[in-house]
Amino acid sequence: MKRRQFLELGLGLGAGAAASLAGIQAGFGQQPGDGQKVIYRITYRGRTAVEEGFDDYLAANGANVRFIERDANRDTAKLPEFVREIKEMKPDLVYTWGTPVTLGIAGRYDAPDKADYVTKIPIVFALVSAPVQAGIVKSTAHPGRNVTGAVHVVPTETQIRAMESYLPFKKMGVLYTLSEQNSVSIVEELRALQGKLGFQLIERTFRMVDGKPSAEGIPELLAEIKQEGAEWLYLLPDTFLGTQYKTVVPAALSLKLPTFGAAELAVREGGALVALVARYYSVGQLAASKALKILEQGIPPEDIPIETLKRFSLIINMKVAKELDLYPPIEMLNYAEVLTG
Amino acid sequence: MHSIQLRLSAALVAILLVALSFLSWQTANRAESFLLPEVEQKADTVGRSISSLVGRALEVGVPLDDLRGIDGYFGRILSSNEDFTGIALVAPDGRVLYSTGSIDVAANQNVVRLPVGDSAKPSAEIAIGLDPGFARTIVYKLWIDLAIVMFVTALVALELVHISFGAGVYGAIEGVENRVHAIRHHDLRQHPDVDDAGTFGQLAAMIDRRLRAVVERYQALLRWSEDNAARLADQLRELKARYRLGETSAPSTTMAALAVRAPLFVFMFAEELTRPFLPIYIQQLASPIPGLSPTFVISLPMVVFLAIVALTQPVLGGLTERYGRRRSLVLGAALGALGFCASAFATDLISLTLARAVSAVGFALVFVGGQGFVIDNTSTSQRARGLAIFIGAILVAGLCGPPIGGILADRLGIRGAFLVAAVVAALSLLLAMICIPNVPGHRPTGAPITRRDFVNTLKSPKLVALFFFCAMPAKIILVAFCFFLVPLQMKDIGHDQATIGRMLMIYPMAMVLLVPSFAALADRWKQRVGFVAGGGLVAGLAALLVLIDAGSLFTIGAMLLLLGIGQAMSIAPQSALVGELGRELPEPVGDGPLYGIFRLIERTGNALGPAIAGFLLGLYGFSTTVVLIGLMMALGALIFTITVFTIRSSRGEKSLPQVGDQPV
Repeated sequence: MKRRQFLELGLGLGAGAAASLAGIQAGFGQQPGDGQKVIYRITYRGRTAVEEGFDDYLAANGANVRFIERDANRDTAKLPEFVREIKEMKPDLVYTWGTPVTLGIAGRYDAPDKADYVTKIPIVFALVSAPVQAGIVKSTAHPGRNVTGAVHVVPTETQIRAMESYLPFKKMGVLYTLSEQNSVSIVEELRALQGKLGFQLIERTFRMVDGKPSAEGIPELLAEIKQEGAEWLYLLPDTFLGTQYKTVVPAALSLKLPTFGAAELAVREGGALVALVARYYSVGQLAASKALKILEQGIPPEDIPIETLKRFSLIINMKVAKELDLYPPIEMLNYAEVLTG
Repeated sequence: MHSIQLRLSAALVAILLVALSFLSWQTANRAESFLLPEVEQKADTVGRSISSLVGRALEVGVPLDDLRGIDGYFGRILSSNEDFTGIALVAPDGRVLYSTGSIDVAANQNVVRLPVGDSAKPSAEIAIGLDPGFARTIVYKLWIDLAIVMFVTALVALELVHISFGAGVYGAIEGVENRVHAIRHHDLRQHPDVDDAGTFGQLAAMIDRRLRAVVERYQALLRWSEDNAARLADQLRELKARYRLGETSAPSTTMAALAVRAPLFVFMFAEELTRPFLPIYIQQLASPIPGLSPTFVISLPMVVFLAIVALTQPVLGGLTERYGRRRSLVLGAALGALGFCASAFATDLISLTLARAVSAVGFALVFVGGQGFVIDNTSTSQRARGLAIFIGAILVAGLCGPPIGGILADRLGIRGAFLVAAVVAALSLLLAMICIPNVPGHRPTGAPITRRDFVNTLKSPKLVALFFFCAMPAKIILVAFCFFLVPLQMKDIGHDQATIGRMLMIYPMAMVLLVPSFAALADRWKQRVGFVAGGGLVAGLAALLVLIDAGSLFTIGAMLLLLGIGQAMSIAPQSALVGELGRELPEPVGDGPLYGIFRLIERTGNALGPAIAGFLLGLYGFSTTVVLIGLMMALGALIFTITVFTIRSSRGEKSLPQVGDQPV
């Protein structure tokens, strides 16, 4: 794993000291020379499966590229320095990981002063869940600026249908943070889906202490949800909820309330029964396909739609299924990934 | 047809049927013996996939007693495998844990069993029940196929016999038969020579020599008697009158007209081949035209074809007469072949429509040329028989073409089937060059239809009712159902083109078998109006059958059968009524122009058929369209009946029954 070693090296040195490594070749077996493109890549918390998918896709398509690797190390304060470096080095493309990095490099599309952002060089992002709500672009169908990329969320309706095929239900509970715009808009979407898919939504929000969501009273809130007849608890991609899996999921389990996650972490580490997720690796491939359109076909990013995946992965937590005595329908085993550990 | 000819044909067909039956029996027998292992093999494959999924469930920790969604899973497998009766999951101790459908897990026969997991120590067992009746059903269906192929083969063979022996052996046999028949009826006239060197030809010549000898002796006697006694002469003259001594009978056969049968049959066969797949082909090539429903667009190439056939025929009648029938047939066959070729290579709706237009001109030329050839070579009294030969060729082609065309399309694809049709049309070109004598054309003799004829004809409310409420709807319903709606519907409900072709045999079969009987009955009972109206009602109301189940082959078949029966009832009386009612006209119109107008209106109905069907299909779907067209037909029959009975007049004299000359 030559590439992996380079990365660890890069991470160890930190972003500031990495300038000397600017010339590192990603190692696709091509020599620098005419036509080689330069991608300036900024990750948020080191290399993930997204970058594996991105690199493999480019390699499989024989792209002649080299990378300049940077890592924010979960610190957005480093981003202005990267912007300066990008403007100086003038790479062919910038890759950004996640909403904070993308916003820090590209800025809001409606920002009054764009001097501190990259506004000319094409930017391809991966793992931004709601680019329009975050203000990165005005529309996903037609970004209209130097930014495009791959979204990793599974459409809400697809989630509900997957839930239905695991265990048909009439009532579904959600617990979310009222101050998170993203969660509020998903809950609005769920309300709208009630009639179409024939279910009833039971809503609860985390208690707020000093304007911040609090873990206080979670078991009581869940008991209320269960009391009202919920057959599923849907763990929507709420940032605060993400930090509370360890409290929420065992409490739901003790109430015999099955949990359905929208994020991979919910089922892998949070103990949810099922999750329907977009694979990081596949998101990386999708982002790479956008990058290739810019680098090889010369299509401007403002004309490349921002897309999400068409196929998702269903992950089932068998240990939880056993505890709930709620095993998956047998045909689901044809396509689901089963966690048995 | 005379008895010896009939027996000869029957013998030929019988030999062929015996041979084919033997072959079919062999095929069906072998099919049964290798079909059962096939079914077991499939059950084994399906069983393995079930077993591996159940195995995976057990492997990831789902307890055997706690599997979820088995009923739905097994149910979906059963519904896509008609040959399985049931599926069960059996525990190692023999308990049936899950079972869907009907299956006896303890049975020894017709059950396929597969272990789950390690076959030495299985954690469960999958049992699949097989339907022993399934193989039988398949073989039964195969038998139906074989029977139909046998039937068509026999018909084609008979047609080939006609073509190859038509003017030769059959002519000689007929000659001998005519002679013997005449002598038995005390008719000692002489007969036209038989042009055949074979046994029957010699026999005919021998009879002719004897007859001539009798005549010579008689005439010698007559001369002698004239000199001797006037009384004797009178008696001998009476003898002459009685036995028609010394006369020559008119040629009673339609030998010359027979020559057209071969090229005509082969050409019509080529066209009929396209019936089961043409609408489907159009559907594949069609792209939407804004403002028009897709089904209406599909009907356009067919409308163009039939409209060209309808509109060019009055013009072509005179032209083929002027330029010669042989040339018309050859040119028509060439255009037909060209059109089929072009259809095979069509890339869109426009190019297909153009190709079909070329074929249409060819079709009209062959049709008019063939009909003209029969008229040229028959006297007025022989014309009905001559036209019967003509219609016979077209009907048999209509019976054999669709099933063969369907099979070709299934095996070779539609483009390949079109190329075969082109080759067949080219063959008819060759036959026309060989069979049809090269007689130079002459100036047209038949009176063309004038505007005045039209006006005079349309002055009769009864004729108007007959033309527009019976004849025209009859053609609309025929073309709409058989050529357009049924093929499309059958394709939609998932049948192949061979099945469509077989379905399309029902109508011509009913016609072939029933038209002569109904024509005779209508004449005998003097009930032409009744037969026309009754036939219209039967054909029209048959459409209501689709309300039972438009997705069932049985319903569609029954509808086509009733349509055939209804049309068979009315077609000959309808044609006869034209002449009958024509004679009641205040200002007489000749039979020629009268029938010309009748055929023109019928052909207009042909061209309207797909247009109306396509338009309605886009708006209302198959069932409603069929019902609407059927009701229109039935209503037309009622209006006709009311018109005839309210405007009563003296019954016209009985006229000869006429056979329609339409693609019936």
